[in-house]
Amino acid sequence: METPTPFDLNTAIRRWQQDLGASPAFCADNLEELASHLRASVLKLKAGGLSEEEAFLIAAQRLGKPGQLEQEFAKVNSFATRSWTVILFWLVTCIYLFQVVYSLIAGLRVWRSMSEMREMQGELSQLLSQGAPLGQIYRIFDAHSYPPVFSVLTLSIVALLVFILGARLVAGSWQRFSAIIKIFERPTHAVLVTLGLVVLGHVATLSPAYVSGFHEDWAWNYLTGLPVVNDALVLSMALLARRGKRLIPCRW
Amino acid sequence: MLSKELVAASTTTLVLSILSEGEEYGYALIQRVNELSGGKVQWSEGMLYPVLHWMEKEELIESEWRAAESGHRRKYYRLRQQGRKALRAEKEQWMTVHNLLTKLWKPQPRLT
Repeated sequence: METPTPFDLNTAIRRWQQDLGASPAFCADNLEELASHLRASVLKLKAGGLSEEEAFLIAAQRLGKPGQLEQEFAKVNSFATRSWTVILFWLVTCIYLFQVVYSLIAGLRVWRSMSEMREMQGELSQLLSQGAPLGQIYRIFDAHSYPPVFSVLTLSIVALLVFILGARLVAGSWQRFSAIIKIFERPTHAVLVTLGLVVLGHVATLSPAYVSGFHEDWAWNYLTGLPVVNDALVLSMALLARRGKRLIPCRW
Repeated sequence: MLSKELVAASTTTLVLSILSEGEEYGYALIQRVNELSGGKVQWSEGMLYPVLHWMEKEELIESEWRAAESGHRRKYYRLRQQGRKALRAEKEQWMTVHNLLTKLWKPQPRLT
């Protein structure tokens, strides 16, 4: 005679989670919460005198039909129901990335035109000997250094997508990527990340002036207020990230 | 037993009211409603969670995973500022209906 395998609650719950998890409507978080509900329910039913197996069957039945659950969870987990805080967070992040990418490209362009200038040293020294101030010559190059806004806008949207998809690949799953973004939820980590982003913003904005060696441009850059705008962007990113929960939807 | 429509209409208000007394996890919320209503208000258990998640997105409540005595984690929900405000508004509306019905159903004293 075959001996029946003894009932194991953990196995039963895991199998139940796997069945439900086959549907994309559920996040891992949802499945864990439902499992936690099942455990509490089983405990209560067992206290009423049922066996563990009976208790599990009744608890699962009380939780609802899988089809019904799937329908209701799909409604709240869809991307369309993201809160404004989350949408605003990604918008601000996009603007900040745009600013950083734009400035870095400008820095790169200035660096290239400066090396061109060095190659033309003969011509330059002639110009200089004719009394043209160096600043004037630099500005001729500088005018060509700043990239067109729209191509950079496209580039930063692409950069954001590449960042999100790349980070997801590195993290292995949306769930773990979500956990990385969640660093904003821990105050000390949030402060460190915010400081890092502030430094990145300043370095990027000041890179053209730094590369060219025209340090008076540093002051000019500050007068345009760009670094301050960057700081404000980073600060709102941090605040929005702390306010909004689940910045990465587990389902798109 | 409460009708399906009334259960659906009152769920958020009930959740807000229970959480205004302190934080709670999903299963305990269901138990509370069951006990307080003497079994007359019965939520379909699994359906509560999508409602909680919706309320969280609306920033009425917030949640936190914490270890329970059993060693497994439990997700606790608590009220946010906006939730408190929503509860006050809900209270006023339910009281309006309540007062109206009480007046209508109370036997009026007649003079003649």
